[in-house]
Amino acid sequence: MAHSFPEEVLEHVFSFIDSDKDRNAVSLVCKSWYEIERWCRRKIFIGNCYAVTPRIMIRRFPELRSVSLKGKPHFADFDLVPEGWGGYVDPWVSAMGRAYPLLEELRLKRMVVSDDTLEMVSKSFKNFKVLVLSSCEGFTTDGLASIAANCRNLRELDLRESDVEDLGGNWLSCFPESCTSLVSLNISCLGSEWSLRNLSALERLVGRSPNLRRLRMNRAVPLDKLANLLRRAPYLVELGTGAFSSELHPDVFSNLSGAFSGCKELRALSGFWDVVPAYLPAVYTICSGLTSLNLSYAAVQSSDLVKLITQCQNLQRLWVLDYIEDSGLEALAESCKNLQELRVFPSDPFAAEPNVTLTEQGLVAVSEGCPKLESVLYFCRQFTNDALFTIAKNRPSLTRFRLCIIEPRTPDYITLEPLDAGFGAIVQNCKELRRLSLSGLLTDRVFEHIGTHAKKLEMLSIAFAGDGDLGLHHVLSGCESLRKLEIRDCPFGDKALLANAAKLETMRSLWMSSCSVSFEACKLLGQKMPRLNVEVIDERGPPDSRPESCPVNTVYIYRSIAGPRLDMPAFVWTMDEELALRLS
Amino acid sequence: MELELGLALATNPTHGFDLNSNFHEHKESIGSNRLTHDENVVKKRTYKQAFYHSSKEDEEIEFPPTLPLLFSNQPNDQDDDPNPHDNQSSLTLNKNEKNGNFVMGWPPIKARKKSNHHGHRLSGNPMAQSGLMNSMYVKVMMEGTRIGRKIDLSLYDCYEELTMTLLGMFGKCLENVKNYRLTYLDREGDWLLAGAIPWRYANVCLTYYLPIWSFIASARRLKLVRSNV
Repeated sequence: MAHSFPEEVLEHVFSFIDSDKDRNAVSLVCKSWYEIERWCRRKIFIGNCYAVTPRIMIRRFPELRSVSLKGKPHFADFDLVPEGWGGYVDPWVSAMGRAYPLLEELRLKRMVVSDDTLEMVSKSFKNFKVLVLSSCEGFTTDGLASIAANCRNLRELDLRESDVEDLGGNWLSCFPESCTSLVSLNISCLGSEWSLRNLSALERLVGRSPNLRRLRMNRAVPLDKLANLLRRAPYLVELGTGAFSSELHPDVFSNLSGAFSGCKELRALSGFWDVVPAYLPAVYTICSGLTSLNLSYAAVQSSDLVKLITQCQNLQRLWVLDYIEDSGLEALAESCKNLQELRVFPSDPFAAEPNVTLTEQGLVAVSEGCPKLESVLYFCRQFTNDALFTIAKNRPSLTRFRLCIIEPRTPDYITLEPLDAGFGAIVQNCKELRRLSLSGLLTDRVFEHIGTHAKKLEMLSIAFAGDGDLGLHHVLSGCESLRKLEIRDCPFGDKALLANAAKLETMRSLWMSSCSVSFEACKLLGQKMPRLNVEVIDERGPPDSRPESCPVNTVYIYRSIAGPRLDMPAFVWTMDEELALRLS
Repeated sequence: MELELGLALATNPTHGFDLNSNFHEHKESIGSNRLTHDENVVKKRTYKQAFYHSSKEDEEIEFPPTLPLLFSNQPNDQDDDPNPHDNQSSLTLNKNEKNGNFVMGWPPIKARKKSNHHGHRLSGNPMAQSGLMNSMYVKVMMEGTRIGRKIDLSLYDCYEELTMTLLGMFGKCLENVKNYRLTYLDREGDWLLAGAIPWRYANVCLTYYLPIWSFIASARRLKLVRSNV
């Protein structure tokens, strides 16, 4: 079989196979296909940077051009992972600098990146094109200056939601005048304080980038500069504005409105910091073309939001604050029949009393009016089982459903019952559900429903729910497709964990914080499962300074062929006995 | 799509790999890490039986006080008490005197970190931070002093409190408050005398529809200057 086609033919055939899943399947057919495939694989995605080492990656795939890595667990977004935990990209970049001189793309999420690393990236890869740093940290504008100065063919620089220290220089001026290759620039996470030199550097950069299609600016870019920028980039497809406020001046308004109407390709809008409602109509001319609208920084009343949204009949994605209220969501449901994704964020989550009228009614209305709805993230203060039944009945096509009722353990506010039945209806009806986040008052029954019905569920987030180990056991034993499970403040202990130890090897990771998992159980798991890394995060001091039955603060378990990591800080303990002995 | 790292798992690895029963044994058989397949199947059945008193799923599920597979001799409190209203789990409360009791990292909204803070906190601020009111560090200089300090504006409630604290930071005694004035660098890059605008809550000037930013949202840097009195 292996001799019937020359290698070049197979390689050519494989070049049409793009998805990682298919590539993996190809590599398992036989040894020679494995060999051919590994030499021609160009792209890799590693969902947990500690699951494998750079050396192993390089040894198997010697010719990669594009590498994506994820570091910290998801709950790091909510401050549950102490600083210094890990996720350093430096060892990867060092190794790749030697092994992949032709690397073109690097995409990182929740990793720690230093200025030195960025400088190394900018100097090691002559054909470097794409840098995406999503929720990363550890670098400053000096690191960005290296990238700007040295990457001659840079196409994409995307810093989405990263934490960048602004040292006040003007790194944008470091892009040489000869750099005209930019297609995408996202600096929306940068600060709100900028020198005029940076602003004019941005204008010049935009002016000499004929291929620029995605531009997301930061709050420091004032509204009166926006019109000029738009006129220099009329082919923009995605725009993130800077601050959207200014003294009201008819000239500024008409200039802006004119500039927007010149951008006929615009499909996505975001930004809108400090928005003054009187300026919103400046975008009306391009609303009918918009497919994506992010108003999550727009502190504006429902009526103003509705005036804007009802003009966007082709909207597919809307992110908005709860200022939109139920009435606004009803209007959305009437106007935007192509809506696929809705995210409603809380404007004041810590207020004792609700500051807006956003209830379960709003989401029910959208589920009724928007036949293509598949992805929901909804923060609110009250919900009912009935509403969940209705949503499940209306939208069996939901693939992502994340409901966050702000106060933990809130029951159905009408019947005062747990929301088990409601979420049960969601998992039973929405057979393609891949991601689910639970909230409200929940007993083990909801986990029974999930284990029984949520067969395609890949990611589950649980907080303040359940009665005991049975709940966790239902999930681990029933959810066949589960890859990521994150749990906080639930009364889940050792039994379910130990009974389903093998399941953990089929998942990317399990996070349990403020639960009832004992140190004893963590040790056992770590010792018995060599292909799992079991890490205890506890800032109270060494776990063996307390009784072994004492619950640990956090246990983070992930499958790995790299063995225990060696860059753990003082508050993380590995359960690998050998390593622990070596390090002590 | 995830890369499969060639973790060659057996046909259905999740069947009955139950480490609970292993717990007593592990102290004796440290060398052997593997359970046989038969052992696995047997243990799974026992485990299931331990949880269910009958085969009917609708019936009330009762938890026996101790299970033969329990590794610890202490009864498991959570199992004995199926009452969902009891607070069994350990909440990680993050107490902050200014803001009452908050649960760390809840609700799950992405936290904006320190280096990015300035000016994001208006009343009714979008993308509000997790748990604590987020810190708002600004640099402070004092006229005549070379070395600056940093201060967290979110910890203070009024100008007087801030000024007193700053004087203390620079080692001036509080009688000196008359000799110094607090100035700040605002959003537009101008140095202004502190005290004219509201401390915390933003306003809108209704006549001209101008936003009036609060002090803590506007201040980028602080400087104590000697007053000319």
